[in-house]
Amino acid sequence: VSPKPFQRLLRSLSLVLTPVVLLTTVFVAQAPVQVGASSHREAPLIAFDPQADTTDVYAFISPDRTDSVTLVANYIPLQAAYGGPNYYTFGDDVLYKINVDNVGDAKARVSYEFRFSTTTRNPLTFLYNTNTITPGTEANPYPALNVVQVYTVTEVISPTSGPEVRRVLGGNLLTPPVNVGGKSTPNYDSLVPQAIHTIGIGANNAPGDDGNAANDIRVFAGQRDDPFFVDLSSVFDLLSLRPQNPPIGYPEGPTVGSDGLRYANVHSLVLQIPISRLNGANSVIGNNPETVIGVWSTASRQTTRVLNGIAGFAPGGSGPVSNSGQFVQVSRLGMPLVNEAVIPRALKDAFNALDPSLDFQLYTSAIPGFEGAGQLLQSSVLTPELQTLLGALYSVPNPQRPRLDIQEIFLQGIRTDAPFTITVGTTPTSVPAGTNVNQPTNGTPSEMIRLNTAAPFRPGGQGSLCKSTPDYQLGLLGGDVCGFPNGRRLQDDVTDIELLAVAGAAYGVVNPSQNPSFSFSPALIGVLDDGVSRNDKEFLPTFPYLASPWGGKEVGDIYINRQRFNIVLRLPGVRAE
Amino acid sequence: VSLVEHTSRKKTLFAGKRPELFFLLSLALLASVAMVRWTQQPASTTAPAPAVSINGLGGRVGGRDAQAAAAQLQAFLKDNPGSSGAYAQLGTVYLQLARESGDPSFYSKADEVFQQALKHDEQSVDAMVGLGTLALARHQFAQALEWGERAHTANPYLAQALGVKGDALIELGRYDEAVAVVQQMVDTRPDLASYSRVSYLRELHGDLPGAIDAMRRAVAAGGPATENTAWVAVQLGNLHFNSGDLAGAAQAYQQAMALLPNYAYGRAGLARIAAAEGRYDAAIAEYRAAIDVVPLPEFVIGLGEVYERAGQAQAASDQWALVGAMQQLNQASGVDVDLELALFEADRDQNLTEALTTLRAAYERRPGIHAADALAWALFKNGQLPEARRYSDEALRLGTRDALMHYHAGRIAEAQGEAARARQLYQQALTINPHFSLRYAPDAKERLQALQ
Repeated sequence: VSPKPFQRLLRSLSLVLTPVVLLTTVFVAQAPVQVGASSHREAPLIAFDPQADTTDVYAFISPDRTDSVTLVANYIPLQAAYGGPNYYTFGDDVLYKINVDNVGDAKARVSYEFRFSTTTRNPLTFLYNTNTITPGTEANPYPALNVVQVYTVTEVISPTSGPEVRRVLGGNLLTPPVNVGGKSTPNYDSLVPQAIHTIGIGANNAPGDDGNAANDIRVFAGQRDDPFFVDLSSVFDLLSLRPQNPPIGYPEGPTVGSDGLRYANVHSLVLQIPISRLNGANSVIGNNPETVIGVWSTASRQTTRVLNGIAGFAPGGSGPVSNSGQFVQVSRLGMPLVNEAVIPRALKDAFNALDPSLDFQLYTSAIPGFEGAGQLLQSSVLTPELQTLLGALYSVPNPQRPRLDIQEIFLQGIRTDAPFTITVGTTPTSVPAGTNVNQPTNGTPSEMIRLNTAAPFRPGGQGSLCKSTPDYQLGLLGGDVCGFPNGRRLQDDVTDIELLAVAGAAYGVVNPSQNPSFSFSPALIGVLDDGVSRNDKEFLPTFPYLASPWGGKEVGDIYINRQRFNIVLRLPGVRAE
Repeated sequence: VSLVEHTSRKKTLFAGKRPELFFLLSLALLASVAMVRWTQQPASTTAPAPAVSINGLGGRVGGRDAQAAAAQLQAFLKDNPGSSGAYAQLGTVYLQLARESGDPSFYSKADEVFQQALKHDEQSVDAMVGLGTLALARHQFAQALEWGERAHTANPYLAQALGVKGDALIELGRYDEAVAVVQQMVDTRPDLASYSRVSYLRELHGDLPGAIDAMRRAVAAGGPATENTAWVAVQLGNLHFNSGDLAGAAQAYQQAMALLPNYAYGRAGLARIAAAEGRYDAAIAEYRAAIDVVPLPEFVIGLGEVYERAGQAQAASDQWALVGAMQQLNQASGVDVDLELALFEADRDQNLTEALTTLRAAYERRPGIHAADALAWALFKNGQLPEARRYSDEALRLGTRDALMHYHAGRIAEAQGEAARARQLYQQALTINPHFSLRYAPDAKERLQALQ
């Protein structure tokens, strides 16, 4: 064959075949190959911001120091222990706050601000640590740690009258390293004491140290095991409860519950404050007869001017680059599971940015332009979707709506409307209607955890109304007036307690007037139960109470030859859309 | 329209002088695409988990988790076919998967489920935001703006709706409105999404230090090991690169690679730095590695330019041919022609008339400064100087510190006989970033000297 006819053949074949091959390429390419370069900025819209994501708040009377209250705020959820090489730290750009309303007007009267600062000792390496991390000395802590984070705690006092007072309680406070694993952090617990700080307070709350340990504040900030426990996978799967027979459980029959947060770490702020600092004659806001404190956590980031007005470039003149914009609250948490299970999806951004003092105005549609949001929020509380679901799925009898009991438990604090039996010490005792559990006097409704700090609500001492063996499974519903929803202890099984509350367990005591004939069936106790009733690690008897974080190797060992645990997303069917 | 119909109209490609070359090239392309598909399989299963935040308990889904989430939502929808929320969440997962894999087939899947979500709930804000994002990805900016506005009306406190609006306004060249909307967005919710948009607007307005500062904040506000964080880290690198700071750029690209090993955009950034520093072998290796992961034309163009610069003419022209074939594929699969590709043709004096027509149409749809610059360059290449000057002035109107735009403007001024202006523009281009282009930075230097 001479070259010319061959070339001609090839040419005519090419004319036919090229489109065919290209077409085939399109099909082959169809799956993972993008041939279209994007000539505009496809900046992400979904911002996963774990450092500014607050997940849980706890407020309890310190079991080993009952004249103090311990407040815990958790951030950076669902940390896998094997997080390297970019291990989790608090955000240096984030303003973290534990807020306390100690007068009941839904305003942060005493806040504790945490600001972090990270130093990389050797910026040339990406390594978190260069050798086994040891405690080191005060002057040179954790010598092998490359990424060191310290923080400042500032107490912000906003009395009901008079100017705001800001007081730095401590600066340059050390955080512990994360629990990397068996070689880097073999004796993790030995690294923690250096990160527990005791801050002495002078006479009359002034700076200094009066030498009286009762006035000390304790603080810790760092990685811990996530103290929350819940069967995420089943509860958010159309409220299935594994330990039950179908239809409440799964068709294949009852099993044990599965803690969706086992082996997961968080970053915790733990603060222990003398109660006298918040309540009573000598509180930091002056004489304060109120004994109930409301507690919530927030995280904020700074906004910024889009155009700074750099000389010669932008209108508006000159000036240096400035990011001194206001801090904008991007995350907020009070009562457990409210942000996740009660706040409608459409209101998430709004709710996370909202100050609790505006909750009730929003709720009652008193904020112009936000009436729709208010109605949505109110219907979410007064006609909870969970209740509908319980009725529809499992024929759990429904108390009549509107559920003012839910409103009281979550937004106001509880003052009983009928006689109620609590266990004082070990003795069942009936308390009359009108007993105040944790409702502030003349309080403004808002979403936060409320804890009564008065002496009868402290465990142990004389006159205590607490159950001597705490009822962590049922809390207040089980007659333990010192348990959730009066505050939240680390051990309280809040998922079950909230399920039972929504099913009307407190209905007869809290606002029963809507439907006096409703009676809650005690048979539901143990049935409305996700089967996860305790944390995956033992809590500590002393500060900071939360268990040490899971280590990378420890969890790695557990997962060898096992599938990675399933982080479960909330399925939307749990709520009406 | 089928590819065959389409290509039969494109006589220039196949009835050119050497159709057999195109046949062989198309075979090569098929082979390379098939190769990439094949090699991607293991890569995609080992990729660390990037994240999309799904509502609820800080639930985090990404990578394998995103695929699992998609499967879970699909199963859920089988039993609950009326759940608007599940459709919208599934669409959002598809969009993130499209981002991560570069696989455009996720776009049509997302489109379908977002429509379903709206069918079951016409007020579904997630669906509106999703459809807006989708329209942006498809370069349908007017529609994107409409979706953004609808979503914002339906939920005025949702920052994402403002993001869609802001992106669309930027592409439509309505910068003042975009500034106002993004200001509202960052005031509503300062986070990675809003900071990165603040950064882009500052960059467009010529404030590079401010842009770098905002992008740093975006990186700091991102989750660990997520595609979104790696993406903003690369943008931070680009900002440093575009201001001539190669060391700063390298650090940011390295950071992106530390977040997501083998992140193609990070690799391409490192390739650009290597090329700018004259380390051509390293640049070639990095570009090849990036193309192995995601074969984007911009990477192939970059690789071709390195070959060209390194004196490997044949290897360079292989890349040009590949880009040409990619462009054919693009058109065949209905993707809006990109400005980069049209600029590529204009740069190489190919199909100048067509490139001009394409860019005029593109400018009509998105009259922003980048479209104006591309159009100006095509007009210049077509010898239409007064009009080129008009669009070039428009491209520079915000004071953007973009070296290539200044170079383009310089060439136009020089052609118009304005030596002083041309000199000033070349000088500005080189001051902004002496490494702005392998192809044009040396040319700018020569022209500047010749004009002194």
